[in-house]
Amino acid sequence: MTSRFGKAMLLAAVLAILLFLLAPILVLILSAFDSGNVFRFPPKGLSLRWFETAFNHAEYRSSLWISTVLGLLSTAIAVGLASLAAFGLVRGKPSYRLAMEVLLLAPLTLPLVVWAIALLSIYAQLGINGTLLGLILAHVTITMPFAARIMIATFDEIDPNLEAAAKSLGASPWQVVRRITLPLALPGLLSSTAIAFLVSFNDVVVTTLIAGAGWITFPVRTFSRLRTEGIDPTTIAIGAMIVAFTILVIVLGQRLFQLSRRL
Amino acid sequence: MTGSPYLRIRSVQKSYKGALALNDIDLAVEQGEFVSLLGPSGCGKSTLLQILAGLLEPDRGQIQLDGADITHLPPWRRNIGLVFQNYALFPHLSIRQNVRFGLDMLGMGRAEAEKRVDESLELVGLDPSLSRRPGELSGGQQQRVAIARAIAIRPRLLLMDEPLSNLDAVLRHKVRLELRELHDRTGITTIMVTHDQAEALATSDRIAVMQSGRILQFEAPEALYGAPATAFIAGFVGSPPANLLPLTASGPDSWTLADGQLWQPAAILAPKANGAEAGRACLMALRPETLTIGTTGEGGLPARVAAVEFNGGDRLVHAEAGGTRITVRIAASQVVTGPEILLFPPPQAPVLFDAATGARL
Repeated sequence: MTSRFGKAMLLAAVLAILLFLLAPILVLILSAFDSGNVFRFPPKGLSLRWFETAFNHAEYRSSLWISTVLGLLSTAIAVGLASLAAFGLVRGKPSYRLAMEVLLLAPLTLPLVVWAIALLSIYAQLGINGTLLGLILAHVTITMPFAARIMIATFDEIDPNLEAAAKSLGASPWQVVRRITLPLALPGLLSSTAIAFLVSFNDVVVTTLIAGAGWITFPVRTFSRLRTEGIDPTTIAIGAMIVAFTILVIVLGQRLFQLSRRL
Repeated sequence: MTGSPYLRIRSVQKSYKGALALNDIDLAVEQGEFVSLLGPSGCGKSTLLQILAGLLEPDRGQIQLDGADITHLPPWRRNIGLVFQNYALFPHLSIRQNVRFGLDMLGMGRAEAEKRVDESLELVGLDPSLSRRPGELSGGQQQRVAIARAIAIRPRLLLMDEPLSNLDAVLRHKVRLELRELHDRTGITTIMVTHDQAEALATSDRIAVMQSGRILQFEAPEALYGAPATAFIAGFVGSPPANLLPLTASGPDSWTLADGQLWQPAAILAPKANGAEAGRACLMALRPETLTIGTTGEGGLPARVAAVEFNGGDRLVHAEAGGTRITVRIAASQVVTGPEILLFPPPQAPVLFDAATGARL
């Protein structure tokens, strides 16, 4: 039967694409439990030794800490600024809205290295190279375009009549934001937060140039060790933990979301 | 001098990007009235409603409500209910929470607010125990919730922007009756924006017809229908609207029609009786239901039948007279004979407009 054959082909294609996309995660998780001294695939023995090393490794611990703090701070600033900008552009409908949207996305159009070099020279003038402040500002620049894009789409989706109706029912501008706009923008806020955090957490290029030796983030540390000592299985174990943590957050988020929708 | 009106709009002007959306609007509405702002899209009726709601500020002019100047009062201090075409129900709140929203903003106690929610939902004919989300309701029910939400705060004024436009034809007819009934029960002064003249005629105490940012006429439906102030109103109000027959006075007793034909009507319809000097180009409003059809007689307007439409209770005869399409409504029992007929306007003073300005003669 053609349709059965078609369905089988579709299933095969879906599985192939999933495998193609998810194979690295599979390799990561399987190798993290390997007992070998160096990275190898497929794994040959089972152990938790690399997790133990990861927990005891002071350098990695401090790098993870730096990455997390940097990610949280820059995400909070980027999402906050992006939301304000997006709300102003969508609701204020200025004549320059399109121009502004293009400018907000500009950092995405240039290779990161070019941005990083430009930032480096600006921050050198300001004297904030190699400081946490400089690093946070740099991460805000590279994460804000993503957050702005999502927040513009989010606010575009919210019917301005809802805000007008709330006002007519006696809600002050602040009450409108708190009771109508924010709850409706929550999915957009969550996804822009997640994307901004991931972009910040994953960045190597800009961080390497701006941070100097003082603030070595996890991906920068991993990358530099890769060049000097080859693949360190410790990073594989940390990677596996990050994957596990991410899945946990997604599952929890899904649960909470479903819950909040059903209330 | 009588007491000042409940709502008074004084010389309100508003422009958008250089274009005049509202041009010197004056309007006085009495307490408890149901008023419609009627006009085609872009006539400024929604802009006027937004100014009343406080969502827009006029460039000039003043709004007085119940004796107080509210021109610059923000919307959340006006206590004016608003109902939108797309309902604008809060999707993240339940139906009861939607209706309670305004009461919560007032800081009303829980027990009292819940009671008010019950009352409001009952007033619009909804089951107060409805515990669903707005998205799970039909359009008609959503609009009822939106109205319940607006009247729950006991507004000083209820504004409705095309409240029936998103409903299908059957529901539209039903809800428009309900709107009028609700108004009669609550007595809330209501202003409804609509582009649908039948809706306005059916519901309103008075109708303000708007065109290009101006109010052309503000009158009771009967007056608007019987004595339209401009050719635009005559050709807009009524289903079907009045026929506008272009004619030029060719002497004291006869008109020249658009195709050059001469028409010698009954004396009361002639140029002389209507003060139209020779050469004056006019439009004569002929209501479809006032015209009668015959085959012989003095003063008939020669016409040729193009199509006859059967509508159950009546027939619409579409005929060509003097180069103009004329619609006549006749009883369903009446039979139209032959393509060549004569149309007889009623023997009473006709409604005539100046062809150039559209103003009443």
